[in-house]
Amino acid sequence: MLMTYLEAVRRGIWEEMERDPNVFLLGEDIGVYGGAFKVTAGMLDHFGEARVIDTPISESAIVGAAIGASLMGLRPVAEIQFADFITCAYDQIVNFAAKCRYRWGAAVPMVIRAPSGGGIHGGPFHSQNPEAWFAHTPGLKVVTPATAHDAKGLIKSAIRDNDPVLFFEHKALYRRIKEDVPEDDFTVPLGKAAVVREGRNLSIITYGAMLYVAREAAETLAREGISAEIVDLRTLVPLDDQTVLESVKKTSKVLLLHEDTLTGGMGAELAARISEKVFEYLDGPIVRVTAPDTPVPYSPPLEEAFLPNAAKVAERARWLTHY
Amino acid sequence: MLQNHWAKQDDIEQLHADIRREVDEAVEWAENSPFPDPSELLDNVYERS
Repeated sequence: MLMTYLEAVRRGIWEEMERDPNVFLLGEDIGVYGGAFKVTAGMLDHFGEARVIDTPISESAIVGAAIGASLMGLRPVAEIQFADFITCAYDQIVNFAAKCRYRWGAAVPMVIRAPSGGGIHGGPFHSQNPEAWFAHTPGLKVVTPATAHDAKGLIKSAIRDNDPVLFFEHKALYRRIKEDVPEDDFTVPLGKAAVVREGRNLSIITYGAMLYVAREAAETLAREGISAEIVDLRTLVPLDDQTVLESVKKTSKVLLLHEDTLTGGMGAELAARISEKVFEYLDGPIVRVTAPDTPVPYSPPLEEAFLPNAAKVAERARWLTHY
Repeated sequence: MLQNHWAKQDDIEQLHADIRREVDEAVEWAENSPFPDPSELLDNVYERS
């Protein structure tokens, strides 16, 4: 069935709520209003106010309540209205949820959904990509779907997972991406990357909205006789080393692409792993294309300059191919 | 504020008018200003970029 990325997330949550009465939702404006982006539209009417809970404007309280509920056997799906606001709940996530299992064997089967990413002229507090903050914290899982298919399959896996999962939905994809998604009860496993385009000359490793930038760049490069392979990580923790390393061994050149800023981003971790494990296969330096180390600018021409795009990727890919 | 005689109705209206004028002037200034040049992308993150 043809559906948007947004609708795919919505269907995935809906199906899990039908399947398991322990799944419930909480967040700001998710009930009566249906969510800032309408991901939870219609859910209050269908599932009732015991399972679709409008909360006060307190991310710390939302996540704290979700952790408590999950410790008592429920499976909360908390919405952070914009991923940027997650900082208010940072202590609950990093110092509590991430460490419950380690400290006293308690499972926290909680999902935190957070619309992230730029390209919508949202400015520095509505456009960030905070995935690396959490990928650095042992005990959390981090999921970043790029396609509608994966958005549905991964949210279902995240809800069924027995560890806390940060689920970053790229808000610029919500209504832009529309594709055929199965209506049946399928899941996409956490921790499994996908080779979404086969290539010979270099590997572009990416995730989230940058998948589409990689695809556009790969089309341009193909017309110039450069064959780019694209790996969509889909999940950042657990990270699918094997698929990444196999691709690098095949092409011997690697370009790491993410919308998050450069320093300490996922590209740095990937570069280290590739260098440690398949160094002898590399025929060129590991290249990163990312946003620069600044807050996300509000001004349209500055945001355009800030975000990685296909031209920037193609330029670095050409350089790397001819290295 | 009026009941406690902290301000007169005229004062409050004047305050509203002043704020409205200040905001309108700022909006007009912003809309008449050019967009920043992409070369400014890394400015103002630290004291010295």
